[in-house]
Amino acid sequence: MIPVLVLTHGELAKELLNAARMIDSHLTENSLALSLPWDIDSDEASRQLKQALRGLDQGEGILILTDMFGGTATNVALPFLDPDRVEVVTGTNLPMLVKLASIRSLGLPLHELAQRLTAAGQKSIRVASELLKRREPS
Amino acid sequence: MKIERVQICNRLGLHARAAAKVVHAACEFQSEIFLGTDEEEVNAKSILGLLTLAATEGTPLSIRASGVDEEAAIKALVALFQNKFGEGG
Repeated sequence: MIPVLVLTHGELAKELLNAARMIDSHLTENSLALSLPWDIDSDEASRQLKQALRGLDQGEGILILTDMFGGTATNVALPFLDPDRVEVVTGTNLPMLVKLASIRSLGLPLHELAQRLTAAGQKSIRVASELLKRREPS
Repeated sequence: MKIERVQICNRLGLHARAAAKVVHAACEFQSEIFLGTDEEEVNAKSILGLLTLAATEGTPLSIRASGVDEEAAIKALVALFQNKFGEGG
């Protein structure tokens, strides 16, 4: 199973994993949160990330999920991009972590896992009233 | 194929943790299992799918199972709904 690192500034990474764990403890298997302090310098952030990746590496590649493209957490991760070894998906959300368990069990290669997860995350963003409107009797 | 009707009877409805329990129960069986309202039907082995049902307290649902262990699957899921997903609420 490809390991996943959730990487954000502040406590967001940790709390995203906590929320997923509350839904189902299996959802966070082989996953790690790296919450970077707001005042961390980029060299130290990079060092912490390198250490986390080393700890997670099992030879199948590692998927990094960050909070936002262009944000510091993503920028720190980008130098580690390496086809087949390290992929980064930005703008992660809770439904993606929920979906992760079932997609990961398919044994997909890293890039395909990243693509499937991205599609699931995008699909999970809904305008609630539009979703519920379908139910109303016409 | 076997179909059974149930009703959501816990206060919080089919929320995320309850959906996770349904998925766990459903994944114990080989059969394809679907949960449906009058309008739509979703895979009972997908948490996100179940959440899109937006099933609140009192919502009637149908459980449809198809496969070698369909009877046992329906029985297990009906019990889970009747047990209010173990929440007692």
